[in-house]
Amino acid sequence: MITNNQPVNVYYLKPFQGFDASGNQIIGGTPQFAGDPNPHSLVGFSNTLRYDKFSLTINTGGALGFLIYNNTATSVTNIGGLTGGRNIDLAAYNSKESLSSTAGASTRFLEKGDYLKLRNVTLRYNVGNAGKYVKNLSAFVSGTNLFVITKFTGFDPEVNIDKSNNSYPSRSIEYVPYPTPRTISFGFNFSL
Amino acid sequence: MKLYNIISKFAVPMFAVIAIAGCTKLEEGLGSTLTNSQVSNALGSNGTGLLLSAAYSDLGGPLTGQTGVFCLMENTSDEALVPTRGGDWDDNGDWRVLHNHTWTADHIRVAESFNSLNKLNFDATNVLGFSPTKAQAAEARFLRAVALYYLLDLYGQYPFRNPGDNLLLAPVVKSGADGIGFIITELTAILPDLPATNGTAQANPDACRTLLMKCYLQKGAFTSRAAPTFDPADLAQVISLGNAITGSGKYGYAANYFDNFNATNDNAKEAIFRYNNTSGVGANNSGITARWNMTLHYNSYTPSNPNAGWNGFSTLSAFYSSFNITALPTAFDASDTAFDGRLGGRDYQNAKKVSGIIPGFLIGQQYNEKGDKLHIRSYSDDTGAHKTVDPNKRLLSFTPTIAANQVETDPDLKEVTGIRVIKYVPDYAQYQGNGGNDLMIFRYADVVLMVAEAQLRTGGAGAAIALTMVNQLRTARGAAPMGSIVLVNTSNGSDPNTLLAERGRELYWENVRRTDLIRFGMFLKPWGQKPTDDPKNLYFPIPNQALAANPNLKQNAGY
Repeated sequence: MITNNQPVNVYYLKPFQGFDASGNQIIGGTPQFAGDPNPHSLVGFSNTLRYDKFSLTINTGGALGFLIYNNTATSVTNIGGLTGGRNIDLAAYNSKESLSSTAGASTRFLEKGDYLKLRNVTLRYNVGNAGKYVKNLSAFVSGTNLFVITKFTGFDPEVNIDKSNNSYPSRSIEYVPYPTPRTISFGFNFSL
Repeated sequence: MKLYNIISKFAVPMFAVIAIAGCTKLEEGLGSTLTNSQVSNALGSNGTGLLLSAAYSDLGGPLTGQTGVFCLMENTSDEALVPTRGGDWDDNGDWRVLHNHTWTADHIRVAESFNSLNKLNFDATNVLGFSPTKAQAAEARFLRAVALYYLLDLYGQYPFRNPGDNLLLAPVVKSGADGIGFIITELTAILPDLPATNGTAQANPDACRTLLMKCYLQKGAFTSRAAPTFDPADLAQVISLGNAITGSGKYGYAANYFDNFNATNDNAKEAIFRYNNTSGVGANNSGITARWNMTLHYNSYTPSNPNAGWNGFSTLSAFYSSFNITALPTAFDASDTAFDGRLGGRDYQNAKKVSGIIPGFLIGQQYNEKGDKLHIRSYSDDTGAHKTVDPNKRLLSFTPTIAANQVETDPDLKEVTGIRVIKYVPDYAQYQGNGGNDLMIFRYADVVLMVAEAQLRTGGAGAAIALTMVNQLRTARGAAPMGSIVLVNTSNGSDPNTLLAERGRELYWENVRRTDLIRFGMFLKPWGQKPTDDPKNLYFPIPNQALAANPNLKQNAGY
């Protein structure tokens, strides 16, 4: 929500109070301000290293200091899905939660979103001129989104599904996004 | 070198010519607003007719599905509720607070209905601004009156514009006596102009009379909601309007109660005003399939298993007991007249062979079309081993008891609690598509019961007339006649021998229960899952966004 003295799109959630004796989750009655979905710092570094005919370019990026609300775990992969024959979260499976627990939004699914992602790595080998016509031949292999260092349990901490409600915008909510693929490509560059 | 010379001689002049010719001021006419005459031209000669059709199609949305007016009228009453079943139907408590009357001003269903009813309000008013014929104007004013009636009932106030008003100015707001007075004046004025040849899916004179009867009956309730009064002149109006309808000979009781609600109910004998849905046609379909999907279980209909229902809406066992029967029917036999036909429980249109779903109240074991017992969904137990379904275990057998706090936590029971209600017989050809059942908005039986109520409230000779009318209805439904009848039993909400209970038995799940409970002074009384109440709940709150947009709207007291 958006209100005075709080970050823009601050989370306003009921507190999670553990499980009761029969495994149902207990959610507190009144919502409270629960955290900031906006990163405090955007970090990254990019390098280019050259040795002999090789060159290696590394680009990383990341964000620190924000929370992500895992809506997928709240309502799609929660334990209640087993009754309906759906796949569920391993965390839900391993928890003490029973099958009849109600599904509700609470601070239980608020996770730290800090991440550092290896966005782009390219290793290039300069062959030089090959034959009469091919000039400046180089071969490269490149990877995008190779790995991400984060504690977030969802698909990708760089997430911002639109869950705006009644003109209240939303930020940093994950709700069944299409997972980010890791891409590896290789090829040649040359001129004639 | 030579090429360079040629180019340089021509290049600069060429560029200059292109530049001058290319630089024109872009004149963009932005068509963000159109004047009335531009719109008339664009719509063409049948434009007003199209606008009227748009207003008609706005009627289905708010009144049909389980969201919208239905949940505001029924879930808040003693007739329906949606318990939270494990992970299903929690929705942050939205449904629970409707039933136990603890909603707040930001409730999503409250805002939704306010907006959809006002859309009908606006679209109907819009028709009046485009040179409508007399009949078109009367129909549009009728549709507007329907919207205003529901708005006044739910929120206690409604915004209002005249056709030519400047849309940038906030509309005026009418409430209380002024509000109902305006609706009555409107309906009285248009009654002569509505073509008598209009069918029941269009605004027709009898529909106008029915709404006028409701307005007169509710006049005292709308002006002083906590303690409704009834003026003898108003009651006399209700009786005379009602007698005009019953005496016209156009309506009669259907042979089977559910003939009014099946997939081919276009010619239902009791329909006075309906919203037309055509089976398989998506355009303007109001979503009537929600009416059975919302209450049936996931395994209720074999071709659609395990998505044959959303397993939500149930009725209360106290309401069921107001039908005053002691035993469940065990055999399905169409000739069985031992109990009230409105309960259902009997085979209808061979439903037993098609799906096993019998219309009416569903209690106990459910069966499929082959007569096999149905089961609830299987699940893993706590150790992770997957249980196979023993044919005699985990049966789909609806139980009457619902948890006191409306949260079902027993994993073996959560799917089966609550008596289910099939009012609209499923359109099996379009089980989850575009159902063909027309929505009954005003029905003949309602008119009869309103006349009976007016007679009973007038007293004297009216009491005997009321009893006769009610018993005629009961005979038509296969129920035993009553020896005597009173309006209401204020200490027992489910006393079967009251007119309030008869209205419940006849008009259950037809969007009238909350209005009836308020009129009989029973809305705030505690029942089942609703232990306490607050007088502010006689009105729904105005949504915060509406308050911000229109300074003439004032929030209802207590919110």
